[in-house]
Amino acid sequence: MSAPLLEIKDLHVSFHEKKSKITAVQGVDLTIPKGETVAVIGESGSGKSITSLSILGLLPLSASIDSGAILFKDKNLLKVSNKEMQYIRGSEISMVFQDAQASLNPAMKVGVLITEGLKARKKLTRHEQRSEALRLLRMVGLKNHVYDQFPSQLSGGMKQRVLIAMALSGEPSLLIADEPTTSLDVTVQSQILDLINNYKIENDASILLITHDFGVVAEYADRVYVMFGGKVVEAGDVYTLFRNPIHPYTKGLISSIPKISDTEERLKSVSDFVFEEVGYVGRRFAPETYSIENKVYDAPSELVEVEPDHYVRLFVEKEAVGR
Amino acid sequence: MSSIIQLHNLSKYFSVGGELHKAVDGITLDIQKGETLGIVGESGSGKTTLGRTLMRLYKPDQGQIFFEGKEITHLPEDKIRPLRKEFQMVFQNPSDSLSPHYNVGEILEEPLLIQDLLTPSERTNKAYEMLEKVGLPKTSYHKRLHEFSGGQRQRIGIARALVLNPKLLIADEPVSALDVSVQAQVLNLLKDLQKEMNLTCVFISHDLNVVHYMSDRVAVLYLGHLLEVAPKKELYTNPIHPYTKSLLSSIPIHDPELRNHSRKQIVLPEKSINPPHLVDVGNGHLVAADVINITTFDTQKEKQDISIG
Ligand SMILES: Nc1ncnc2c1ncn2[C@@H]1O[C@H](COP(=O)(O)OP(=O)(O)OP(=O)(O)O)[C@@H](O)[C@H]1O
Ligand SMILES: Nc1ncnc2c1ncn2[C@@H]1O[C@H](COP(=O)(O)OP(=O)(O)OP(=O)(O)O)[C@@H](O)[C@H]1O
Ligand SMILES: [Mg+2]
Ligand SMILES: [Mg+2]
Repeated sequence: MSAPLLEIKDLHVSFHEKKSKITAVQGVDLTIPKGETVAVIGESGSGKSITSLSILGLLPLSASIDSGAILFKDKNLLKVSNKEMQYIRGSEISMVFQDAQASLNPAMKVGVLITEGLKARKKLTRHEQRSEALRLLRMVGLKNHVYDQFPSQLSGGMKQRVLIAMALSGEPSLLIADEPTTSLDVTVQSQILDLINNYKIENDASILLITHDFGVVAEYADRVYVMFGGKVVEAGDVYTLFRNPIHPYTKGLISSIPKISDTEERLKSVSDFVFEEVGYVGRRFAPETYSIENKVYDAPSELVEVEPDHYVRLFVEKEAVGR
Repeated sequence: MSSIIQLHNLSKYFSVGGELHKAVDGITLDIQKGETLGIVGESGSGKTTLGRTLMRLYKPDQGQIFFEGKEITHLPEDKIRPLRKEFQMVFQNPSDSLSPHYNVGEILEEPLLIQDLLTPSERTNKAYEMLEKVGLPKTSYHKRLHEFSGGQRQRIGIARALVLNPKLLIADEPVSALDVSVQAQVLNLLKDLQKEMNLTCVFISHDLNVVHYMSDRVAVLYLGHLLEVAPKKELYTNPIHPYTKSLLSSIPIHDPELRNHSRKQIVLPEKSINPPHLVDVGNGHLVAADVINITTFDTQKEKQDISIG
């Protein structure tokens, strides 16, 4: 693993609604090394988006960060001033939001959308802005005429490219992409991910890739964090994790996806591995108790390094793991 | 095996801003009784339109549709109505297609009511029977949709589609909106019910892994044209059309050891002016004639056979 570019340490985030408090993120530790792609994968509602929104201070108003630190270039992003955060957003770290396509201003042409961002960051003449915007469009594989088109005239894949062009316009050292290809079909999906991957390689940048598709993880990630119920339950480098998944949720996810190489008649589903989900609230699991092979294990431990660079939140005795 | 549906040169056009858009263009295809036919293709290729047209939810603009050998292309609405119970559809988003105002019991009984089948108490029994079939507890009967998770809602959508005991089920992206961790359960359920009820299925999806899991045969659509159709194994191991090849090469491989970004070469051919003519190259494998040069194809096929072992 190369030197960390960003480190999230023991992050806790909760939502306050009327009288109740919902803990969405419960003590997440996550490291993004320089030049690597870190994937966060997990169940809907497991806290992936909330974790990533914390980095740039973009949480919904009803959310609060209860404790933790997010270290980036010797600064704790949870403590920086608004002005500093403004600068970091876009120039150092930028984000492609989940379902962002809907947020593209329909009244603005693509050219305007891109140059708005450029203007905010650099002093450029109009002519320079235009040629920079065209360069960005080309970089994401779009033709010049897209500059003069409205979002409504573009397909989903093209809109996603525009969003990526906007996010990359400040040449960030970290790009956070939250489900960047979920609504797209396979051909477009691989093009978009290749695009992000090329940016990473050419600029020695880091990518935080949020997804619920283990196929995408297998293809593009260097490191993986598996989230479940607001916690990281397993983490490690991608090869180790695929070779030797340990947490039942990880195993379930890996084997519940149909694969063309499969000869099996039936798919295993996550519930074949995670026998009991206690405290199911809406879309959120609270996996405090597992029942595995009829034995009940309480309160999973902290993350334990079970082999070099492979961490698991254990729910059985340590000796039983990894065999 | 016999055909349940035969499509001959079927077309459906939409008029978009005064221009004719050929969403489904000259498709000839047989669907066999009891099989699951997968339909793949990128967004906008006409998968949904084909499904809806063959169920006669859309009026075809050209061509013919035969159901169990009888032509139904131009049947008037009153003659189509009794046939409707033979064709059912499961949609991508159960929340859009099922009413939030009724309880689950009412949602399940409604198709029976519309078709004027069974007595009220028989309908209630049938609804309970369907709940059991799709693995939902009896107590679901009195609940409303918002009390269920996405996967459970899709189970309700499936139960409703099957309550009339249809012959043909069209599942249009039935798991695309679901969290991966529940997709497997819904796919397993569909597969079990398909066997149990001897259903013919048309399974529409742009996820080639899912289609592989579900289908016996797979058809590839591109801009309204049918480019290739073959038994599953044949299509996935021996694709002929460059577009099919590129579709298959873009499937993520679930093994980081095998990653290879250079293998992806997306080929997006120009749409041909006329619908392609399909030729049978053996093994039930049909492909657009314009892309194959029979001699090169033969040698290519030999090579591939060897590599598959
Ligand atoms: N605005 C909000 N108000 C209250 N609770 C929220 C809000 N946004 C998220 N949550 C809760 O926080 C938890 C984590 O949500 P988050 O959006 O991070 O999930 P996710 O892992 O990104 O899921 P998905 O895969 O569906 O995008 C969930 O339990 C969710 O219900
Ligand atoms: N009601 C309609 N009016 C006008 N055009 C339509 C209509 N329905 C579909 N189309 C057009 O027909 C083409 C095929 O659409 P269709 O919905 O069948 O595609 P699809 O393969 O199901 O795509 P997706 O994977 O996005 O669901 C598209 O270009 C679409 O814009
Ligand atoms: Mg999210
Ligand atoms: Mg569709």
